[in-house]
Amino acid sequence: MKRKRHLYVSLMVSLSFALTIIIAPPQSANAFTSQVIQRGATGDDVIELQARLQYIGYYKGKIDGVFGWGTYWALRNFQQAYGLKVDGLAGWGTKLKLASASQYNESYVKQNIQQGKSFTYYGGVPLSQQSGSAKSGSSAKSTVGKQQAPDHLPEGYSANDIKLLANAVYGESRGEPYTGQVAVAAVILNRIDSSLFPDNVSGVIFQPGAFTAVADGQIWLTPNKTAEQAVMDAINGWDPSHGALYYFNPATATSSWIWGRPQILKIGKHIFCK
Amino acid sequence: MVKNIIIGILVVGIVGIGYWGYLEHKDKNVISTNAENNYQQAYHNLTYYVDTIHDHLGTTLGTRSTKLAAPELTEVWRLASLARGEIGQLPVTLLPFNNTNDFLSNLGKFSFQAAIKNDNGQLTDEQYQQLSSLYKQSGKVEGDLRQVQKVIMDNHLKWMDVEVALASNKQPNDNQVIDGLKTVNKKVEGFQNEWGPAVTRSNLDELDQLNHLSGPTISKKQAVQAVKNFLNIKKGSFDVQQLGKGAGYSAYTVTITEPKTNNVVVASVSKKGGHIVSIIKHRKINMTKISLNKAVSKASQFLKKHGFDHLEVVKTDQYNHEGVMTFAQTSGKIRLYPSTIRMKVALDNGEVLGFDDSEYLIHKNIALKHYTPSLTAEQAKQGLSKDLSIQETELAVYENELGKNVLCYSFLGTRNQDTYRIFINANTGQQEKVELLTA
Repeated sequence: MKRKRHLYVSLMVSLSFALTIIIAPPQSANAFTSQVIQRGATGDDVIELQARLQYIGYYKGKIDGVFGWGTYWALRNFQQAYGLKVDGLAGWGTKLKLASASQYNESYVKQNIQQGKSFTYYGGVPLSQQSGSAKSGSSAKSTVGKQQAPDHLPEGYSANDIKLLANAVYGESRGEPYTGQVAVAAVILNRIDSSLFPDNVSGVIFQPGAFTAVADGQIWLTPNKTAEQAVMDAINGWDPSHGALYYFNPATATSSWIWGRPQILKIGKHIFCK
Repeated sequence: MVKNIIIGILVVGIVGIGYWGYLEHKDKNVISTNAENNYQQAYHNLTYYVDTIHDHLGTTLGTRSTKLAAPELTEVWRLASLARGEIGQLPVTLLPFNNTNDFLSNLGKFSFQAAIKNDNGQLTDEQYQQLSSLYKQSGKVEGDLRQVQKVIMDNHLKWMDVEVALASNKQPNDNQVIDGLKTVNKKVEGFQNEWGPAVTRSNLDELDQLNHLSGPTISKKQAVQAVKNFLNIKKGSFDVQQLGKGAGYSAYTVTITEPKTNNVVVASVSKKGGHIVSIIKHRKINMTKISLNKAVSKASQFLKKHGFDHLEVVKTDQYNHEGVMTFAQTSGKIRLYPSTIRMKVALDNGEVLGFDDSEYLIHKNIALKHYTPSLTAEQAKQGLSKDLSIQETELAVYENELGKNVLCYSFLGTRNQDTYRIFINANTGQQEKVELLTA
């Protein structure tokens, strides 16, 4: 009887032990959050995904926290090699397999990213050999401890294009309703597409006489977050101006010609027209 | 004595101020001369380029084989682009000089298509006709631009004055430069050019489709109700505006301000049928709590709930705390790239902040057509570079440069670190488009 009870207890203990193993995933997989990571995503999970894929030699690109095509193919190749479902999504099963197959030195990777250094993270190579020197200028800008936003750029635009657009939008329409600011950004983009105007961001913005903010220097004010967001919305295809090529403030417009353009709508102080 | 000292100080002061003023004046002159020189250079370059375009068009007329004409036409294409660049340097934004710019742009596109996109080795009769009339027209433009140039030089006119005249409230009618350029523009407007559809394609024709959607014509009040129903908004102050004729289609813009939060939703609704064309909502998002993946399923649910079927997500991106994605319509296994819906989802709570189905409303009927490829994927693959390793192959309808919807094999391939998407026509085997996908 006593022996039987002993057996019972040990059975319970081992069972509960087994249960904890099943319920709680191994320590290393805890590093990822529970989200499914997919193409286009940004953030810490993507950094870890790229670092781990690089550690075992699948990912050869830059560890930048932006899930682009390079990361996508690396992940698929990994899934293929490890007998997982090849879908290019880092779900629970994939993350678990990846975590057990690789290592992740978070402080090394994060530190390098924060300092703007060019670095790699291959397994079996001493870390001291994989970290290059900081790019001049970039390290001075990023303050210590502040998380740098990943450079996730929409296709066809450089970081400078977006900065210039945000400057123009802020200089031209700060204080206007949000959609009014998106509309101003959209007008610049519509001009780029139009055969009547130059075909790039700087060409349109700096065209003599095109924007008053350029003429009076207000374009060099530092734009706020709202202006930046308005630019992103316009680039992503939202156009509250409905295809406008011009806008003017009826209180200060001096050219009679502009009044003759077919109008579209009024947002805030600006009338948008074709 | 004191008086003399004061006088002395004042004299020194006046002389000092005078000298300072002289230096300022000199500086200002240097800067304005500099600006003037830039304008002068831009204008002289413009006339030079148009002059050269005219010559090259003339040379092209001596032959009909594309092989011989191609180098000349390519030169025209390049020069037209340079000439447009110079117009961009001139202070003529608020001046009716559009037609000239448009003329140069179309001229460039036409010569590109005639030179590079011509597969039968010969200029067609229409292209030849077009060329000879372009030759004549560019000659006229050249003459007029030269005339303005002469007036500028003979009378020592300044572009700076043009800029001032345009910026000031005065009617700039007495300015000879402005008058001259207006004349050029007027003349270009009068040219009766039969540009092909590929040259002058504008989305205005497409937007006209939105005037012919299914359903009855709606009133302002119904437009507000349509937006409220679509977004399930119960309360909130609103404002409706009908779009003017510049928009290219009849629609209302509805602005709803939500109570309490004061968040603003702006939506446009087509007048015909009351279809929601686009929605944009702005609010503060402070953190990312849900994944992009979750956001995509939220967007899919939203679409399903509103009765949009046969859609597949084709592009997803995370910017700051927002997920932006594009859904394309599908017909069986074929993706219809012209017919898309764009969505924006907040990554803090998964709320839909942006919606735009204008492309879908315009193009959804292409799903009614039957598409059958006459080539197999293997055959279509023949022309691709050997260095490219193909990862994915699918059938897709793509709107090509000529504005035609063509059935294509879409190949996703990699070469070293780069990813390419290549559309090969599934019937002719012609390459329709190559894209280098970033990152």
